[in-house]
Amino acid sequence: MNAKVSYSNPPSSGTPLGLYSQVARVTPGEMVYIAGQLAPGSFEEQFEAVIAQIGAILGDLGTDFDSIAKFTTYLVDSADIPEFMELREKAFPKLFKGDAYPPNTLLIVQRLVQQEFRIEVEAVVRMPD
Amino acid sequence: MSVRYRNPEGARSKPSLYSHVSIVPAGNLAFIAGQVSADAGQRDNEFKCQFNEVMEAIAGILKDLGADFNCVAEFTTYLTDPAHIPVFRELRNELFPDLFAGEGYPPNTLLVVQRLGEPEWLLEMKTVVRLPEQDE
Repeated sequence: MNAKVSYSNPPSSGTPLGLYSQVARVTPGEMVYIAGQLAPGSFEEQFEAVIAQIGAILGDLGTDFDSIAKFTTYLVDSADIPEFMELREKAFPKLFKGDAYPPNTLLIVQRLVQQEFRIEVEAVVRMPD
Repeated sequence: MSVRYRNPEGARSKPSLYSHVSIVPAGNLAFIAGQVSADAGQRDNEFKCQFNEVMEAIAGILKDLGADFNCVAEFTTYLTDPAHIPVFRELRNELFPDLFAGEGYPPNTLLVVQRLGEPEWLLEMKTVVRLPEQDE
């Protein structure tokens, strides 16, 4: 949990379809934009490496996953959605201190920058003061 | 204090002119809608023409906002054909050093999508900007 970013699901919104929230509320302060992260390998290897890279960048900036205001996730094949959901369910409870997670927008695109890439994740971060 | 660009050691190496991270001081942000060519057609070097028109459109909006390219927090680039990726990089490599004064370039997420708003559009770029304070 992070006092600068809080996740919620207002009563008017639908129940999220996985480990994300409908809303992140972010107090004014320094923001960080992380470019979409990519990695080679199987879908699982790509997912794990992409999340590890985001973790390494957050660590380098002196912060952690609880500072994330939102994710955008791009896949190239809708058949990878169930595996994405499963991997996220395994990974996120270990990465986030609270029991709520950042908003995520999940999109299927025709291709990423290289043919081998199957997942790309970008993040917006509210830095701790 | 303006936007700073950074490539942490934990991040993968990058092939062209963008950074993995931008650090944006607290302040007013502007979100610029995806810009597209106003003149798209079947010209020679159509992709290059559209790239230049999109960059000019963004430059014009930044100027109207009292900002410039060094205020860009991030870009998202949408292409309709992966064959344009190397051309996009080449054009960016040529242009960006003239547009950006400081060290480094904004994060960019490059996506190939099935289509944009009009079938003749080959490229769209969306921008997030940190506006300068009056006294900056």
